[in-house]
Amino acid sequence: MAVFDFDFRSLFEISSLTGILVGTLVGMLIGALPGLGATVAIVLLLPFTYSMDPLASILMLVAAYQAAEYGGSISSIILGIPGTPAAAATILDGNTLARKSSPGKALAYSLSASTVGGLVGGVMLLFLSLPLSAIALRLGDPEFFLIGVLGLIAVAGLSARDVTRSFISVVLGLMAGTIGIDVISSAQRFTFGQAELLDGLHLVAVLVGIFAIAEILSMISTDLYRTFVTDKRGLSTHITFREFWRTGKAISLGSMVGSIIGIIPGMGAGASSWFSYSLARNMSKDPKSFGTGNPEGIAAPEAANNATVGGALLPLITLGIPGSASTAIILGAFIIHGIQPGPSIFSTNSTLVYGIFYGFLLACFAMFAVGKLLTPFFAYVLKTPNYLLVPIILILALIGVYASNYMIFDLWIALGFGILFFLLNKLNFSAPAFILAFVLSPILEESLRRALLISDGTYMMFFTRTYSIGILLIIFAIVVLSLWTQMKRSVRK
Amino acid sequence: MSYKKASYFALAFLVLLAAGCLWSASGLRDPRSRGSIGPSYFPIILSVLLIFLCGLSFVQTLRRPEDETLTIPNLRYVLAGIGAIAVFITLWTFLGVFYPLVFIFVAGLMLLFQPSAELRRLAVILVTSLVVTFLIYGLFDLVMGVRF
Repeated sequence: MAVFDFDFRSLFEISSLTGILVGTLVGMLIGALPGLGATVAIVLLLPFTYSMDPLASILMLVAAYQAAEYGGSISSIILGIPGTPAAAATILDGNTLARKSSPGKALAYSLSASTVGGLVGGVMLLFLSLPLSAIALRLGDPEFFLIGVLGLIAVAGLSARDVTRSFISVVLGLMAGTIGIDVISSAQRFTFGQAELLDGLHLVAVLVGIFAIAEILSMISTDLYRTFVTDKRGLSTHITFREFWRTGKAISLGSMVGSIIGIIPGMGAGASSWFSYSLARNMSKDPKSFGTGNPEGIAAPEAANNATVGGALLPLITLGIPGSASTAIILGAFIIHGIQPGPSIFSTNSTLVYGIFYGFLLACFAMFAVGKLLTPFFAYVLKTPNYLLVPIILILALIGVYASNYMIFDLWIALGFGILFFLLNKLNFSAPAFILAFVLSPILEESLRRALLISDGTYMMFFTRTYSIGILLIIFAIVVLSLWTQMKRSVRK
Repeated sequence: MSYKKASYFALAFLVLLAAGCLWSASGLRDPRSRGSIGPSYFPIILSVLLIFLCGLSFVQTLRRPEDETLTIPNLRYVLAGIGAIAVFITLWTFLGVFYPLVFIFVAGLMLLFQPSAELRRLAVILVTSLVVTFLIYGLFDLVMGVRF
């Protein structure tokens, strides 16, 4: 099926439209709450996907991912506290503009830039995925193994915290992924005779534990009595076309940078928004005005973090390899419905893939419409005290775990992982690195073992195939970059 | 507890975990596997890698010039939250009365976490818990057909 041969009727079915709307609402709401980002929004929605059709469920998660990136800017602009890590750069000019003149104006710049950024990322996804999957079809097991390793090294190696502990988190995630029946030999591994572990650790239980329960415990610990004061007045998100046009250059810059950075595993929306912000400042006619409420300082990072979403979906769909925790969870939704993303998905599930691509663009418009109508409401929600919010999110997380697999055992798994990562996060271990490795573990192990079985146990095939050598060179470059960053940090100390 | 001390405990625990996995994996056999590439191959590599990385992190922690105190603010509330989840799961397993338990869980935690007891706040908590319980019933039971 070519790009324009898609039957748009499937996209406008009630289930798909409901998925987009629910995802947008939940994503924007969770994204707006400080401390809870896109990952938590996707995790909380994942259990609902079991009872939905594949297109609607994936569109719901993608819409939540997209809307959470904009939602993060609501608290950045109104409170000066980033709702998501990616919205931190928006504070500099967004919060200043909100204080100086109107928060609604600042939010309007953010919303329009986020929408354009999302659309650019979506268009790139639409047109680059087929050529990339054509290349991916030429890849074999050694290359898929190396691409997985590349993703893990990028996520752990470029970690801003403790690199060694990020790698430990990767290994722990890979080990957790080996629990259950081995698909090649049918041997039981690390099940301790528990029938509940034969299929391995349940993805939703692990995700909810690490990203919802651990986050909530952390919220109880540090933010239980934090109160935010917001004012509903001046929140109407309106800018004139002339005002929008003035930020055109920053939006274009942010959109391009975000789309490209999104493809690179481990970089994510945080890196792309800061990179776009500094690039927009350096290329601006008036760089000194950045930080004093310049609309370009809002537009560039907001366009970038939304464009990153489209870019991040590209390797997930074409290679089947996620580059971040959020895309790893979306991969989980594919697996739940028995669909394995990768180069062959264009021949096996082309209607679904193009549905996702066009639905992604539709989700950008939904985000714009919902943002336009409900931003004042989401801003008001920020006033909800955490002592009311925490028990509600906790019960929804627990019910979500149960509803996804109907096993009480999974609730204990979620609680265990929640406590473990609440403590490990304090010691600079990396939850995103763990989860990415956990999701990639079966893919990595199978491709490694198949490659070695074909080559009679020799690793030489990784060094004799053209694509393998290319990927190895990229891995080498990332390792060097990581070591250089580490050295720079220790010299600075 | 200091950051360094907590790190040593965590790393020692992970080394023990890796040793356990290594021992368990080395007992895995697959008669059909060629050479050494069986079900134990990947877990053994990972266990050895984990022990190596923990050793590296141990040395890095040891060489860290500064130390800091690790604190968990609101520890009793954190423990109460964990305890409440554990009690909720246990009671649900043995009693099975899901929706009343949801109401008690939500209202109980809100009451526990509220900054000060006031009559108005108490009313807000009870009404919110009731609304949340009914919303969960409506969404999961009526719309999605999930039976608890």
